[in-house]
Amino acid sequence: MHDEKALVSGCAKGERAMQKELYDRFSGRMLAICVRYCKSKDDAEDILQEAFVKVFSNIESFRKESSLGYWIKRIVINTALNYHRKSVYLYQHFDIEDMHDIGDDDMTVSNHNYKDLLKVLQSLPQGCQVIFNLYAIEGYKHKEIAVMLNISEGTSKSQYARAKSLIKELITETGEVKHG
Amino acid sequence: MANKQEHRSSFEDQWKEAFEDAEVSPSANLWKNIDSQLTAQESGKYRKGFIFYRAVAAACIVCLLGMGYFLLRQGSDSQGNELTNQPTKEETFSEGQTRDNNLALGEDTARKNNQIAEDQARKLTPAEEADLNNALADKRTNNQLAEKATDEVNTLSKRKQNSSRADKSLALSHTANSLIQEHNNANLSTAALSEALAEDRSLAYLPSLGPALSKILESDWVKDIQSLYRVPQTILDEQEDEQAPEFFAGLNLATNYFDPNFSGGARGNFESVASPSPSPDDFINVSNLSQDYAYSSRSTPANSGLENTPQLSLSYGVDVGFMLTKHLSLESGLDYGRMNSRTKTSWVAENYGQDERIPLLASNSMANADYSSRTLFTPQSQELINSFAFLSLPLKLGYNLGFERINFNLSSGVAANFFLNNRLSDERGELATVNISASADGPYRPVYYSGIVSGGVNYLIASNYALSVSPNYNFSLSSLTEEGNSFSSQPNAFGVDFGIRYNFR
Repeated sequence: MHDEKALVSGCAKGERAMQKELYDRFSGRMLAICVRYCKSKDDAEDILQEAFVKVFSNIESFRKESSLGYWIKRIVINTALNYHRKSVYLYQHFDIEDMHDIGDDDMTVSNHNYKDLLKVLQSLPQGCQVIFNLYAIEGYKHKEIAVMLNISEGTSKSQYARAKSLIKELITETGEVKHG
Repeated sequence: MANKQEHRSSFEDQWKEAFEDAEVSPSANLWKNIDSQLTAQESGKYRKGFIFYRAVAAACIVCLLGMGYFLLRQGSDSQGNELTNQPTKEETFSEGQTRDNNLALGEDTARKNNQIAEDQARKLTPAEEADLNNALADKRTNNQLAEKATDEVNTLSKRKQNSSRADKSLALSHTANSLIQEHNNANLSTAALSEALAEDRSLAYLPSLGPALSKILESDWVKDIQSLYRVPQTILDEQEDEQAPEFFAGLNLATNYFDPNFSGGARGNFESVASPSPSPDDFINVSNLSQDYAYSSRSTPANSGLENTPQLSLSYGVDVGFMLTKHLSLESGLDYGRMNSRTKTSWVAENYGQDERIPLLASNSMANADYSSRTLFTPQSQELINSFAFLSLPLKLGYNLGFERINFNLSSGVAANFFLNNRLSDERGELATVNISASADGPYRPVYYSGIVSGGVNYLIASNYALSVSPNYNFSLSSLTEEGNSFSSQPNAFGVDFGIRYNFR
């Protein structure tokens, strides 16, 4: 078990054993991120594979100012967004005025387990799923999401509102998950 | 990433907590796939490296073949000289020895000549036979004249040893003699003389002509003929003396103006933030995700830095070449060049520590898109030195025209230019220097090919040393950039080579 510095150094030299160790250490957490952006585990694994190849190819540019896990996570998210960018229809525009504001005070998800919530998330339309991930889980602002996805801020907000609406439909008041 | 607590409700926090420490086990095949993809990438890198070494090896072989060809030719020439000049070669040992050798030579060659004449006499008509016998009898009884002729031979042979012109003069003397002999109906048989000349132009046969030669050469009309004949012959001899070297090698230093000549350039998704008009000193955070430069139509990092102003650049290296014919030469060499141009960008990337800003241009924007924390835009362009390093392997065919000490050269050819790196640097030191090396993932090809046209002048400053000045134009025959990039580069350069050359004659 090597420390982070030794791992980075070994990976930069192209040592396959070090690369495998880094993969073993981070692949579980990173795949959990990928599946949130995908409909299936297979798609998520494709993204993870592409992301790890990028990590190993560019690990020399890792400057150790942030944690290695944080750096890898960014690459994974960016790779996931690139993956979905191929589908141009993802971010259909809905005017924010058309969407009624969904109050979320009465929505509780903490009593649901990870698997249920993942199923809910994966059952959302692709655009809603990505924006919900970026806003609710990653913590980005709508303005930033708009820049990242080359969409308007309004589209980001409307997609998020739609995602919340759908989630509310999927999770019943009794706490059961309807779909997934 | 998760620092935006404003407007966030407990709903979002619940979701975040639910997924915070989640882990999903990947399938067993995933690592195998990554492993094989990495292996393929690495073999691609080695393959590109192999191309470089293969080209260098090919150049070495060309140089070795050239040198081998030159040495073989030189060897066969010197062997021929040894055979024809063997008698005179011995003269170089000492003055006394020279005299003895020449006397022996005179006797020896006289004997040879007698034998030839006697052989010839057997085939001659009775009248010719009688003439020849008279001549031989005359020679045998006139040792003093023979010695005199030998002395003449010595003088001439020394001249021959010093210069090929002497050989020509002697040949001229032979020719003149044969004319004179014919003209005067000398006792010597012209048939014997012609055969002797035809068989071997060696000076060794001259002593046999000694008495007649001495007498005839003294006459005025012969001198007239000789002077008339020697004028063009001497010019020809001098021209041959100035013949271009067989093989040459030298060092060169070149000044160039290099233009990477970029074209294309994709647009990106920064348009929504690049369009405002902030104050010139501001950097605007446009987030870090630049993965979609290719689908927009306004200013982006992916179309920055494509306009370059050539700057004075230097290259240096070694030249080698050899003469294929009297006028045609084949040249090669190895040159290292760092070619500079000046460009601008309005985009920088900030790294995680935020203590370093990296300039973003078309050449490095895609590589940095996923790994930097923030991309910033400023309306005040950042001026950069865009520097390319190459190792070039030219192969040129030249036409040479020599006059006295000056040689004019016109050549054209091709060069394999091996890309070493591209350096983006800020002269003010405010931005970090970016190095883009030759790699499988980089935008540049490991090698691109260019055509060369050059003209030049060599001036012989000493017997074997020459200075050269050669203006040249270098234009790309293949793209410097890999296919699939949003931009392409067809570099060109013009400049002047200054060199010093050693001629192996």
